[in-house]
Amino acid sequence: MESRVRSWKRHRAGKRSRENCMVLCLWLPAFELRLERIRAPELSGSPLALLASRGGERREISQACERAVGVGVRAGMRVSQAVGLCPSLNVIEPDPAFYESNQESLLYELQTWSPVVEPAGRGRFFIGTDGLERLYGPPGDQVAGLLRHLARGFPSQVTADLRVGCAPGKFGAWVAVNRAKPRNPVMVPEERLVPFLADRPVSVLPVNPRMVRRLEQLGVVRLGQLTRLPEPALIAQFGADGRRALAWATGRRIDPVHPRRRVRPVCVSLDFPAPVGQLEMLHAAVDHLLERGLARPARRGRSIRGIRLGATLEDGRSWSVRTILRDPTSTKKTLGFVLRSRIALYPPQRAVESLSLEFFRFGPPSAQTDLFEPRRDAKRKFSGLETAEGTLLPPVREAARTLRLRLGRGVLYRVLELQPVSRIPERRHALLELEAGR
Amino acid sequence: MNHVDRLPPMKPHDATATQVRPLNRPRPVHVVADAEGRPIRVRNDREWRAVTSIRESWRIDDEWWRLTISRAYYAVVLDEGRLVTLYRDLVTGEWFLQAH
Repeated sequence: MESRVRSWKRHRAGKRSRENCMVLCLWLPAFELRLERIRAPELSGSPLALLASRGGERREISQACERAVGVGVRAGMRVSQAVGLCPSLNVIEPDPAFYESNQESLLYELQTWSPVVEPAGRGRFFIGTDGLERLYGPPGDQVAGLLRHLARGFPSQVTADLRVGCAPGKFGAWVAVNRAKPRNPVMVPEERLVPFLADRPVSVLPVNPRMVRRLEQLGVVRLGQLTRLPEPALIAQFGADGRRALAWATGRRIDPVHPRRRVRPVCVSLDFPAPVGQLEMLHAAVDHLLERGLARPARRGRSIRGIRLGATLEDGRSWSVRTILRDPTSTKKTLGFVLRSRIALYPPQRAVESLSLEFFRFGPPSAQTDLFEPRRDAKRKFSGLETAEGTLLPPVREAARTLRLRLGRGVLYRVLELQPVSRIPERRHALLELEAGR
Repeated sequence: MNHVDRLPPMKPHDATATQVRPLNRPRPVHVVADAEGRPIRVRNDREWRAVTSIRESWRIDDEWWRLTISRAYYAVVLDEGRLVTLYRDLVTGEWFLQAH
């Protein structure tokens, strides 16, 4: 019996390794800068650099165009340093929501072409091509068809610079796409993978950069040289990275594509009547959004692991911070603390017009939270229409629901303190619709 | 129009945006002012009322870096005995009624 289970496991493992073996990698270098140029055509021709989202006091460059790179501007460089090297440099604030929505559009288009698509950072996708021959023909025709498919939906500035590489496994495809030029894809069949990799530099390995530097210092500059090293020596020197590097370089490790399965996020948002710049106001709004988000029926029974806070700024651009929690939680206080810390580290650069909160990754239900949930607590404290935790009393909730059903719109509001000490009277308080669901 | 232009700025697909409605918004009002710009008559609902006294006046200048807010407020007593607060928008010259 045991041997039968083992053989079944071997069969499964073997089967899994063959799934999505041929991988096509699609890469659009400097994705964000390219989008900025499309959005603002007047910037074309001038040197351009993008600021890092995670700023603080000293802002750094996260991406620079070829012209800026040509005069020495590099990612990670201080803005003052970059402007010193290139006085005509246009430095742009990042707009993460804009980039994300375009990334999602690209992903959507690719998913209409193949169901096996894995996003790997902005502007980079891995596509499993196994089984697509019957639909699109041999690999060469597949690539041409894919580019035609994208050209129909995206402007030529995007598709003209797309690079395509095709090889067995994600690593092979990534190495291939690094050699590819626009309109000149690099295709590596299975039997040519090892000789193709042997010629590539060790810097293509997705391992700790210190390992790459060390290998280069030791004179191991090509993957072919790496394959000649004994595995135990590599493991002794570099640990798991050494083992992985050897497996990739020798073509033993073929990583399949894992198509993204997106969990439907829970989203809530809040529009301010006037742009808000004070941190206290943002904190109050975050608390309010957390209350609403946690009370959404779609969230109940699940703890929160991934949370994202986004904002539309007064200049029309966007701002966002996201965090993955080590320990999933559904406690408002903990989530509020985490978000406040993120805001303090990476504050929005302009006043905020609207704020949105998204729970995008969930953990197991937290038994403790359920046990002590305020609505089940017999000793809850009432303050006006709400309990101490901000949940509506059942009769009020019921009345709000009935009125909404009868009139087709909400007519009950709560007074929200916005900027109580503002000199402008209409900025001090606002009305917020009572939600019948809470 | 290209594809990128058509893309929305980013709206979570199931977001339920809640509009916060400001309270105590200024209401436009007809006012007759004297040569120095102080209110002397106010049109209250359908009839004109004379201003019997100005209890207090003050000025707000704010947000010059964005959309300048410059207002001259007057807390006035009307001939019917009501106390109302008016302001003149010094940018547009319009008059508004607003509790302060």
